[in-house]
Amino acid sequence: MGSRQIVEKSLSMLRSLPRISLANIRDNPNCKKKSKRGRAQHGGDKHGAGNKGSGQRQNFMRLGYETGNNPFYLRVPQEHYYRGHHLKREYPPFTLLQLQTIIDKDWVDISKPIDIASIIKSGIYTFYPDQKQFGIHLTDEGLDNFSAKINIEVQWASEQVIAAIERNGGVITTAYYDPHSLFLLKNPKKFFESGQAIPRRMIPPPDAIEYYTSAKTRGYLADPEEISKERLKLAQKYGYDLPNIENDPNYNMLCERKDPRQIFYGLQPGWVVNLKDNCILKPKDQDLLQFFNS
Amino acid sequence: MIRCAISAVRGIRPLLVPYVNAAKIISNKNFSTFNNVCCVSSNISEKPISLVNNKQILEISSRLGVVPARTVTKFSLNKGKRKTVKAAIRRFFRLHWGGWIRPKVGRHKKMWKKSSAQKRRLRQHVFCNSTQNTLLDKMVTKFWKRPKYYVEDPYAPYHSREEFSYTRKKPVARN
Repeated sequence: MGSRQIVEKSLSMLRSLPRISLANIRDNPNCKKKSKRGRAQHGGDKHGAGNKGSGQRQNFMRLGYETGNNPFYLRVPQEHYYRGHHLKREYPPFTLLQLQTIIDKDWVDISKPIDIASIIKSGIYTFYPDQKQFGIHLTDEGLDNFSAKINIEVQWASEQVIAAIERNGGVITTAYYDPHSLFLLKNPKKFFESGQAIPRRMIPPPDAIEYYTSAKTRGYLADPEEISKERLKLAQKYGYDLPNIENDPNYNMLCERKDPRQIFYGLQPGWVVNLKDNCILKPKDQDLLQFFNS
Repeated sequence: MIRCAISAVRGIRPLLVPYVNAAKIISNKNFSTFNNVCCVSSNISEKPISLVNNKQILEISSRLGVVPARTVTKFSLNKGKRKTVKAAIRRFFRLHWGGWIRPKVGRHKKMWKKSSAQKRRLRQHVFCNSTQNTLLDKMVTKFWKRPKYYVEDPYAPYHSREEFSYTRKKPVARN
């Protein structure tokens, strides 16, 4: 009988034998059997599990179960506080106080237009585009102490905040960025290292179009003439003299805006930033140019 | 008779047969009862009936449906992750500071016999107590504990407790 036959035979035996169960196992040969009942610290003890019932059997009841009562978490009527949460856009707040702080500490350069990229670079603010967060909501905390003349672009701002910035002779724009461009703005270096061409910025979703085309909210798609009218209206509403931007020495800086398709200041969609050779590659093909400018 | 047949088939012990035959016998053994049942039924209706096209079983299985579970899943089948109790999310709302709010129980019931003051109280939303907060925190995943920064949020004033000295987080600004 060859070893192979033995293997096959024993395998076939094994297959036909019943499975191991509690009914047909026995102790190992020469195994130690306890002959005495323990009487030391935990000898005949219940090991902290109690004497009778639920505790001894260690049947840990399910969360919220009240042994037959109508559980509290099911007794309360439904309210659906979270309805539609998966469709809502989040805008993590950034206060005017924080903005004033980073300006005072010189963490951000106010001789250039400020956008979400420069605020993130200052290190005081962060957000997560993958968690449906769509950028900066500039809030009114520290509004009375704000005293900087800046050209800032945020994603959401209230009327008081707009007034606080325009009172100091500054300019504010609310601009929409799609999540993909927000990833680029959050970590531009990572994107440039990937060697891809800078994409176009997408237009806002239907429910945000109204906000970003409205002159009242200083939307980036609004008519500039309408915006200048609204600036005057807001100054009258809050009772301050609107500083004249035209006579300002920094007029060019204050008038700088991004193109609605542009993501980075000074970089056009379609360009490739080569960090290794320190140069920028621009497309020349007409089709490509047409695509990136459309 | 059938029992005898079953026991006879079960009695076969394919100990010393080669692999292929053994497999055959084992398969016979496993389905022996089933085959016998099939034979009996075919005598009556003259049709091969299996479990798949058994009317009674199909009826029962169609009536079963999905058994609802409103308890917490600690390890999901697919990824082995904890799951949220959706029943809790439909009833409660978590504020950023960790408190939960809820509507009042019985706010739509027997309104005809409740006084206007009681009806007003029922319209209000109230805080859960500490034990309930702990329970609800266990029922939801970290997604629901993360603050959500919506604009024009009606709950915005309730997400922080700066006006009460014991719960204040920022120092008081004194000018």
